[in-house]
Amino acid sequence: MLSRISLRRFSVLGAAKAAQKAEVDWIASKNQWSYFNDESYVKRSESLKLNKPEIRESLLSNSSESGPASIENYSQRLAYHSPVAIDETFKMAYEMLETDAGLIYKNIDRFRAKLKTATDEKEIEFLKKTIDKLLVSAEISNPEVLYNATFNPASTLDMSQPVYRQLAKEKWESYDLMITMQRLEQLHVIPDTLPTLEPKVDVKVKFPHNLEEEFSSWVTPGEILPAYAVAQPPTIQIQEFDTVESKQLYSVLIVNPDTPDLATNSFSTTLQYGLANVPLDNVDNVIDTKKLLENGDKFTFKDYVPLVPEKNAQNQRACLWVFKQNGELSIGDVARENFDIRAFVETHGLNAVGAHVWRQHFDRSVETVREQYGLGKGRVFRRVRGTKPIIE
Amino acid sequence: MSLNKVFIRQFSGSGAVLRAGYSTVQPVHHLVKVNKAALKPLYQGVLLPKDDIKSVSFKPTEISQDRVAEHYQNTLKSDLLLHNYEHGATTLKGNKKRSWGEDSPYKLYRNLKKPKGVSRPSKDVHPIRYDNVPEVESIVIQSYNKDALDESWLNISTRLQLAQITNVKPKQIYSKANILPWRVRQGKPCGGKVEITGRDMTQFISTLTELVLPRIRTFQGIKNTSGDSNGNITFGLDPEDVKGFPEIENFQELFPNLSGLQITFKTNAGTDERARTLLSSLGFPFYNP
Amino acid sequence: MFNPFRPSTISGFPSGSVVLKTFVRGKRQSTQSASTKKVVNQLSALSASRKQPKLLNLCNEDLIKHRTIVNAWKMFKRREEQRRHNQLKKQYKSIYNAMEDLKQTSPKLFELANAKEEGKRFPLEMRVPTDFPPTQPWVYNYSPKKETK
Repeated sequence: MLSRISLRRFSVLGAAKAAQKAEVDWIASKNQWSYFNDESYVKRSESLKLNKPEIRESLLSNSSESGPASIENYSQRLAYHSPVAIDETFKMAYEMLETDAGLIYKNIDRFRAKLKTATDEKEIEFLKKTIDKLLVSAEISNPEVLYNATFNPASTLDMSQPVYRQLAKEKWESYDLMITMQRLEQLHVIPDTLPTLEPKVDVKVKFPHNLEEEFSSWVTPGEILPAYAVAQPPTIQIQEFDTVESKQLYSVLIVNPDTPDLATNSFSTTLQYGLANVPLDNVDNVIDTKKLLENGDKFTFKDYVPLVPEKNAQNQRACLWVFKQNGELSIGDVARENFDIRAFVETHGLNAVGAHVWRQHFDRSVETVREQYGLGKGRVFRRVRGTKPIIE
Repeated sequence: MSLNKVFIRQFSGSGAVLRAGYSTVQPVHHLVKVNKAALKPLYQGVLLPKDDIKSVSFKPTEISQDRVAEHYQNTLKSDLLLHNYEHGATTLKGNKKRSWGEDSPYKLYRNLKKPKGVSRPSKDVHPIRYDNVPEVESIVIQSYNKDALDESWLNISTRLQLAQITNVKPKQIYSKANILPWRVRQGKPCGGKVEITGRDMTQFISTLTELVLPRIRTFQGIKNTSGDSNGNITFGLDPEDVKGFPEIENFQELFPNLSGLQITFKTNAGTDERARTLLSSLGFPFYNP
Repeated sequence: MFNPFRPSTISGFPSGSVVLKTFVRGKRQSTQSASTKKVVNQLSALSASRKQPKLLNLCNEDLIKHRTIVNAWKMFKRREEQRRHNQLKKQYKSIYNAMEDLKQTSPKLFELANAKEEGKRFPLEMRVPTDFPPTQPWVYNYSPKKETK
């Protein structure tokens, strides 16, 4: 029964099949995933190659006598045995997936040709998005890309490639994003500073002036840091996962919503650091010391002053907010004390895309930092017995 | 989110303490679902999907050809589609639970009324199309051991017998009622139960139809009256018949006391008649009792 | 409860009788009876602990190779599934068209064709194919047994 049906099917679709098969053969002969920077065909970036040549060799050709190159120890490498017939099976699988990728690249070519002639703005946006999606699906099962994304640190990946961005986004969503949102909610950064956040970018913070390993690496959201560890302005990485074609402008605010306000028995918000009009894109995504030294005056509308909690005050939160700008902003003089972040965001039409938080309390380095920034001696808060009786 | 005292922000410490607090659930202000288990370093290995080779519960599944499944896909499915086709058929509405009416708030929020004439609601019967051709979804095998009520260790053998036959670890079943003359007491283990799907299921079907059932002399087939009217067919095997399973047959001295099996085929056929045709296509005989 | 002067009793022995544990050099002797051992064996066969196969420790290249193979296999299965689905859809459409046609041309034949076949069973002789089929796979002159009553 099956054979009869399939026979009929083939006779009907014979001609179309043959044409398709010719195309498939042609693409297979092109050897898609090892094809870089050719003008006549689809351009592929060199960064899609496995970045260590000896491992690339041992991944793509058959397992050699000397064992896999990724094992560095010589005796361990000799003792390692690959599963039976993995090389032959891998070769078949590779060819199959590569042919499929070739078909997708063919499609991408078509969309790119369409994009050149397109004039409608909506259509252009749609075409660009489709091309990005196709670029991801063409490369996501490429073993070299998989190797790079799995075993190499995220900082070495080429973020101009949609596939690496997609893989990085998946990784971010599975851990870092959840940690950040949990801490923002638990420490009441949301809704104490801004009402809510729909995270779009990965925000990472570190203080590179520290010499100790403990404080010089990326800060986990919610961590309690000593005053000397935050004495210099932080390096902020803003990783965008969608394609940014020309530079996108960002602004960054660090506010402390826990400045004691004795008159009202409450707290006020202080602006600790303000940056605006910082141009970033997918690859150039860090606001670091170099950038600040070069163009710091242009970006900074409020200089960095670290949080210096006074003795016996509660833990203070340094809430870092990252905003996407619709255009260039001109921010006049903003008062540091009694800063209203919600009003600021509203007047400048900012769109919050990411946030970060760390905490501080009084420690022995606070006085030094206060001196460094010329803030004078800090107060010491004590409990004072009230004059009124509790029960009247 | 947790039940906690309302969050009062005040600089002086005692003010908040003196105020009467109340329990509240803090609202969540963002749209990201936080999976707390995924944040614990200890759970990272456990959270890997089971088909990931790095997971501790990774088990290679597709290790050999599946004859029964292939036969079903290649031959039976199209035949069953043709057989069950009915031109112009529409969905037959089942007998559903009824509303008490909407003229009073008491009626509005009351539990729904029983369906007309019967105690249980029945399902809708959809016409068979290319996307819902009847197939066996799973097989539930249950074994009852009366002797285990007195001596619970006797149940071990019953469950091992099920595990041996199906390749899946069975669950223990416990008696639900107190019936003193039968020495049935609530909560006593009295047998095992296992639900098999996929490759284990097709292997069980082929063992049953090719080795076990043909050798039972008295076996006439599955009764044409069997079924729960939703397309699930049940039949039973005696302890004597269970000996026919090759996994038991070769180790008879290990199983001195066998217990019978109750085998239920769960199908998505919708009606018993369709389910019977499906089972007959897989090689199960039927007879009129 | 912990009276050292009271002789220890073990269930199964008459109370009062003292069981002395004497040290035997060499292989440890089990005190369980054969039937108890059997039950213990059965229980250990049933439980999965310590019977898990060892986790495969693949090197980085082999892990990526394995994932690639799995990706290709999934793609193959997906296409296979899609092909089958399309084939069934086509069959359904042609059944539908044929019946529509028949309805127009011959309502009487249509009635017959669309009649429900209750109690239809597949022949028992239709077997699942095997790699090594019997020499005579199909009995052509088979007739079902007459019911004797």
